[in-house]
Amino acid sequence: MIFLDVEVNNKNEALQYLVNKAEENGLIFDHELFLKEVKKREEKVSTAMEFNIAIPHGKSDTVIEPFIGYMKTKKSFHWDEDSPNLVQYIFLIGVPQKNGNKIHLKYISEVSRKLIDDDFRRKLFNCKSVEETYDLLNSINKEVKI
Amino acid sequence: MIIMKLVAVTACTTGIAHTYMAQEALEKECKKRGYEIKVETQGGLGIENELTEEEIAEADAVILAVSIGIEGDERFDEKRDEGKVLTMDPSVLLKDVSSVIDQAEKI
Repeated sequence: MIFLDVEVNNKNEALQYLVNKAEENGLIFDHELFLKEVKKREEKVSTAMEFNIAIPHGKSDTVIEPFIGYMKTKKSFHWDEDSPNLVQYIFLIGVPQKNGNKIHLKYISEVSRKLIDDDFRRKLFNCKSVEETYDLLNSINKEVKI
Repeated sequence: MIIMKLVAVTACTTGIAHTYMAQEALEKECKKRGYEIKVETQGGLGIENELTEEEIAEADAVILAVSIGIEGDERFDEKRDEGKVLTMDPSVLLKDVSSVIDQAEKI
């Protein structure tokens, strides 16, 4: 799930968009339930990070297979009202309650790790098409040792 | 230059994102400073890089970047009594790894 140039104005719109897509793509059963979990986690501690990235995530029975979805919004916006953090790159991660497919989990953890790398981030933010983004994210797959 | 020996555990609610990012961030920052660090992760992939009693005993400080209860928490009781344990939510660590390590230096 890769979405570029999406027009959303705030965190709720972004999350709603992503969970709807996740359900459409058969990754979760119920987007309302999943959204609840994700929001619960956000309320605990915001997932907005440096580098204009946010990594909302949820662990729930309604998640069928572990997944990571990526969205680049048209404009950056404030993730939280009370923080200066602007967000433009959002990774939504879903994990089943009972830990699912290990390979998927490994892949997601590798992507998370890569986000700490300046070089990788630069490449990702410069991707102009879904294909380019897909190729970059997929290259991580090759590094995942099964 | 003092070379610090640190140990850490990272664990977040979903067991994926923050858990491994925090590990990566800690390892990177310590590499920059020339410090030694071993980071145990408790996440979706189970417990990886488990810390031994010895490693914990030899450490100058312990960083627990966790948002859930961790297994084997008792291992750190002694360090806790010595005031050498820093605990925080992994996302807080990610926002500023540098100052967490600074804090560890002051212990």
